[in-house]
Amino acid sequence: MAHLSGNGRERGQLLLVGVLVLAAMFIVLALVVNSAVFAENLATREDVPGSEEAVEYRAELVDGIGEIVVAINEDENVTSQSELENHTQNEIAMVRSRGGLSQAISGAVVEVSYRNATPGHRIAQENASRNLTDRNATEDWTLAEDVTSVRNVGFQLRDVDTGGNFSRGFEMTVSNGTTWSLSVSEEGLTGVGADGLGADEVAVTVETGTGDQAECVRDKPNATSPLTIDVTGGTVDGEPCHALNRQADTTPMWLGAGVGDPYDIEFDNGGSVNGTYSMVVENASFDASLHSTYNESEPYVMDALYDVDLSYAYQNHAVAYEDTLRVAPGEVPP
Amino acid sequence: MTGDRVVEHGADSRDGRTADNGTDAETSTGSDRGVTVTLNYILVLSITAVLVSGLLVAGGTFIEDQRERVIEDELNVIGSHIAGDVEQVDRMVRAGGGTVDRAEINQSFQRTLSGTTYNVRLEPNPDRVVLASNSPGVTVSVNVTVRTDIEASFAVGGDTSVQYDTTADRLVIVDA
Repeated sequence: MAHLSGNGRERGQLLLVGVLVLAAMFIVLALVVNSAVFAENLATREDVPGSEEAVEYRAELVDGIGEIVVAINEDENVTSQSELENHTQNEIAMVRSRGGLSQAISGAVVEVSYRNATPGHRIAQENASRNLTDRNATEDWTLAEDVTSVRNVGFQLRDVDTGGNFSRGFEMTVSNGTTWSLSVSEEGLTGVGADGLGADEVAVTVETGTGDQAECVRDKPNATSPLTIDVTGGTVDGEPCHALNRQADTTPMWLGAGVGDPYDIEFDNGGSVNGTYSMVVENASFDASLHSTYNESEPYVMDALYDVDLSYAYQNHAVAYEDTLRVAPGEVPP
Repeated sequence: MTGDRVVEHGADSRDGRTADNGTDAETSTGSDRGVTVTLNYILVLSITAVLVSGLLVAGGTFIEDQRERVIEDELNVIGSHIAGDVEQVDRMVRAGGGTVDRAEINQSFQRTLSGTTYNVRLEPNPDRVVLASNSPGVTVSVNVTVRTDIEASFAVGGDTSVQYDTTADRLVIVDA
């Protein structure tokens, strides 16, 4: 105090000290504001690079290799299980090298490798002008018995002629005590006429094991615009069909829902419709209704791959993801 | 200057009774003026001191408040990023449908926030990420929505890693 008050020239010391401390406080404030700016900057940054790509690329692989499995199963020149597996392994190796390169460009290492495959059978008819009877022209017949799973069930019908009788509708049934059925008919649940179907329409009707019925109505097919039913995908002519994927009370439903395995798959009134179909089954037994080798004009059954397991690993500087992928295109939940 | 004027003014206005004072003022000029100057200095100094210290105290409190708010903001931002990582790992696990062998996401943040260290906890029921700074003590919690169970776990703020524990089928956070 003596110094501060002793001489007029030294009175400024207190102010000087105060100003210096205040200046230091401003510097601290600047640092705090800087931290706030950094926090805002951090808030606008995206998630960790690769965290989404790991899952996206996984889905792409399942889709892509699913297409490969479908193509190999449909190749009539590939007949034995070992051939099917070799072809699949070669294709997967190709996907690994090409896909791995594109991922490497974006800074990630991706490893895809074949683990094993589950054998199955593919049942199909490729003659579009033939009806859906068995090779002996029997209208009501069993495609496969004791099936544990079925996938990729699809029809492409060129003609539907049920002669004005709903009970003559073509029917595919999955049964084991209880029955799940899909029928295609010129007459729907509501009949034909004022409130029912038009003359140029057909109905795709599904009845579940619990007796729940639903139908989708589409234009009547002809040779140039067939009726495409993806049973396991739940679409008719590429558009979702509610009858194939949910019950009247909106409970999710799919092919064979409510039917315990093993089950039998049958066609009834196969003479009422013309067209092609295809499906892949696991653990089934077949009789002489089908040709046991590829046949271009009548229904046949061939060896196929039901599913393929892959090892998948995705790694970059921040993300590590390892998983076993199961590829079974067009499979419905168990 | 002020002292001089007061004395002169006093001498002019107070004749009889102030003669003594006037005489005193004239005979002992230094001591009487000194008292006034000292008092004046003390007043000026104390008022200055009060003003300056008030400014410093107010400024210090303001800065401390700002610092706490900034730390809270930063914890919120980092918590949101970590919550995003937790949910992403959960998506990876769900995409695998129970066959995932490994899923982890590492992310680096600053080790100190406005000069304080902090830690990150993963807590179940309700599922959330809780971040706490040490000094000043600020706690922030960010909810996460996941299907996979969460293991109560802890990491020091900085380099964190959200992982899937395949044996326990749970999500954990650890130091990267």
